[in-house]
Amino acid sequence: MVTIHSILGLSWRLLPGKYAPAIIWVPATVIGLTTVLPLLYILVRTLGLGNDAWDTLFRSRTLVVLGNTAALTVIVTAASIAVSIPVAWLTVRTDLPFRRMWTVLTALPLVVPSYIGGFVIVAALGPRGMLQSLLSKTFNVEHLPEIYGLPGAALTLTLLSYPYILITVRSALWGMDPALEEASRSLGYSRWMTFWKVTLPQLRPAISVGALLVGLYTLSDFGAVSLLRFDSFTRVIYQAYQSSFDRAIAAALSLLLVLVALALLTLEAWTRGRSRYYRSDSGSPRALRPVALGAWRWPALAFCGAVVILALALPMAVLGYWMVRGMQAGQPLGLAWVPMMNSISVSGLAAVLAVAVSVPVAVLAVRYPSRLSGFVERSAYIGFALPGIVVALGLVFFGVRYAPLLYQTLMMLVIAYVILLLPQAVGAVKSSFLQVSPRMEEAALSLGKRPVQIMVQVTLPLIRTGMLAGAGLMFLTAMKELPATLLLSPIGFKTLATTIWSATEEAFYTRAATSAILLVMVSSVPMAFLTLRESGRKG
Amino acid sequence: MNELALQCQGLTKWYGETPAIVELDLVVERGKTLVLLGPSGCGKTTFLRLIAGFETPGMGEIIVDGVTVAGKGVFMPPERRKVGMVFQDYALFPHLSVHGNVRFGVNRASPQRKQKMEAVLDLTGLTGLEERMPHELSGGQQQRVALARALASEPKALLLDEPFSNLDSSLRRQMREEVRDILVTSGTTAIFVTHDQEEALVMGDQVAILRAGRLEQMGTPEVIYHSPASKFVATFMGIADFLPSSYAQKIFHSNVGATAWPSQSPPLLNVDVMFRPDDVLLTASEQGAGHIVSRTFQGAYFMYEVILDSGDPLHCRQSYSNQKLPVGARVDVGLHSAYQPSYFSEGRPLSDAVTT
Repeated sequence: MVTIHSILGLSWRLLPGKYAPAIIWVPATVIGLTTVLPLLYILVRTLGLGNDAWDTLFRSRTLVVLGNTAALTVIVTAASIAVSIPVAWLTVRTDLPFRRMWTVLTALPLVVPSYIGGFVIVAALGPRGMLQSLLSKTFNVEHLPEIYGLPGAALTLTLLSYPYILITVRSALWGMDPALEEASRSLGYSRWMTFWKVTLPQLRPAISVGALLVGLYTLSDFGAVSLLRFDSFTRVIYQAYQSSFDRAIAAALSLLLVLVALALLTLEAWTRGRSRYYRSDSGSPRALRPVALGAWRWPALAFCGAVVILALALPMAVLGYWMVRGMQAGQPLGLAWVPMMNSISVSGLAAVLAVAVSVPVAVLAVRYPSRLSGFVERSAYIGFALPGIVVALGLVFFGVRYAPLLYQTLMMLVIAYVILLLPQAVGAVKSSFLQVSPRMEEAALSLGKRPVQIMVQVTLPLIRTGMLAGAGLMFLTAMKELPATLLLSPIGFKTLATTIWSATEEAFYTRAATSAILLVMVSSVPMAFLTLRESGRKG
Repeated sequence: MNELALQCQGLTKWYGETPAIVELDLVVERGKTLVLLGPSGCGKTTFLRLIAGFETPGMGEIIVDGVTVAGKGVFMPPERRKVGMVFQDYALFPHLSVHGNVRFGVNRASPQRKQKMEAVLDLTGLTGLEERMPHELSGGQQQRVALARALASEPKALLLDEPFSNLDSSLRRQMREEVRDILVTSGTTAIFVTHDQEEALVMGDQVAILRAGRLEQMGTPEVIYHSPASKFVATFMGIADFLPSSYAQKIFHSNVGATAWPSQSPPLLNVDVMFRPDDVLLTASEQGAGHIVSRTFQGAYFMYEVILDSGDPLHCRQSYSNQKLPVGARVDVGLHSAYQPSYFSEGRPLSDAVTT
């Protein structure tokens, strides 16, 4: 209920100087406002909606879309948790053979863009796909179960997005106090019981941050749902935008999607609960002794192998198949060097920028909880929930009206990337902040350091791993981004993503496959480096 | 019920080329507290982790309450050993309240689990704090929760790994007494690891001194303090000075008014005699046997450091009621009337040297 009192209370709580130094809250607030910009555009357009449009919107079809989107999100998130927790535990805590190799390979599906994933699934499992042609030749099987719709979309998105949870859970496992598990064992709980009663609750913040990323990724995915013909919000919005001149319906649907995303954010904050997760002791953690798997290493290997084959080897094989087929047919390979360099430089710039701006947001959210910091953090996550096309449209609108100098420049594209990808960086930086005890900052404060010095000398070195993970993820996702790149690239500026998309549209599958392989390979380098470095430092 | 709560026979653990525990033989009687004392890196934490089942011994046998838990081809996992542990950093579960942490250890099949919870919370003085989360507790309270959680599981032996090292000294003294009372009241067999010799003397029914993975000496606190089995133990348990016996005999015979030398000179050369600061008395004397080089006020007494004319240092603890002597003063040294000399030859007590 809104009363004068609550409004006054709110405005007082919004005075952030009382809680956080200006160096934190000013940039954080600016970032929060920037990310809200596309949302404002949607609001403005929705408010301009005519009566007919409202009728269109309140048809039962909208409810179906809402149900579809919710079902897809729940299935993908649950399946991702189910896949990533065993993989994380096996690669961090056990003597699994070739542990470092699995560590890298299981994180790599993150480099496969959803439009490539969707394309691969259709080409492999769809009608007249590779599997069916194989089966019809050998067993004369003519019909396979339908891959289009929910099953295909859920399978594709799970296989591509589970590494978000895997990565956050892995770093939480590395940072966990091993004495907790030992205490549980000495109190009579088996390893299995200990996992459920002690380890899993400690991993809860990491799981919920990772699950949030997966959920938001699913909500905003465009490539896979389009190719697999599943009517979730993004596909319907895109159709509405293309099929009519009234962009307001697309805007109104987008607004609904934003509400779903906000609900997800609230859920994540609510699951975090009352307990605190930073380590309370001052001693350095003892090195963990890996759990001996014994005979269990065979099923463990089979599990990791199945995940890697489905999520990585199979897509690569399908792409390779198309490339070889094209070469045999004498098509030119058309290696896209210029687009590759374009992708690398724009994505790199966006990654560095996004991590830099995510630090004040994370500091504000973790150390100075207030309504303002809650608002800023949530607005940082909004970018991921907005479909790329909406962010891009918002920026086009803003650029044409208010910033003609920025419009049609690379800076505009970089800003769009930062808005879209900020949640990943904030998530990674924030979860590493959660493991830094505020005592350390207080200790530095008591040593006469000013807040800025503490930030540079104490906090930043402690969260460096989180920041690196954030930068790596940002770079990869920027490399993969499609809709915003399509809309905001200056004329003549091609990236790997736009090259693949146009090649697919024009049915140049060989060219699409070679560019896709190039994209995956370029993305794999920082990904492998990132995972190896992190496991080498702590594992 | 076995009268011996814990037995170790020939327990050995190597980390690669480094010995952590070497052929350790130990016995702890039911309801008693054994303190493991040693400098850092001597293997005491490894020993606890071997007992708890977090490490696998290289050789030897561990028997808890008559049951072999490790060795002879047996390795019982930690959760089946019924050995409790209080960790140095407490390892309280941050996602559980005080109640949740303590209940974690209670056997859920037990029909009296509610009474047991109450009894443990009452014993450890945690009543009223049940709903707090670990981060809302003081260091001493966290310590008590860790103890309550371990006791609630009714362990056959309780292992405490330097549990007071994170507490301030007054709280540490208070917790020592509390924990000792709790262990005695509950009749718990305990193995307590520390590097603090004062703590060892207060907490232990028996004290075992470890050095580089080997058992140096085991005995009651009095025996360890007054009849150390090596110069290492002697100096580790407190200040000890060693004087050549012929020289000691000379100065303690020559001085006036002091207690006479209590025994015959040992029959061997190269024999040293150990003196603790409270064995020695000082009196001002111009002819004296040495001079004072420092004096520190330590509350109940003064600690003097004397350099004898031979060049050997000698420490002396004098009650505040004695005459206060200035630095630089020449002094005579005498002996406390209850003094019994301990002789050492080449780092070992003379009784060993004679018998071996």
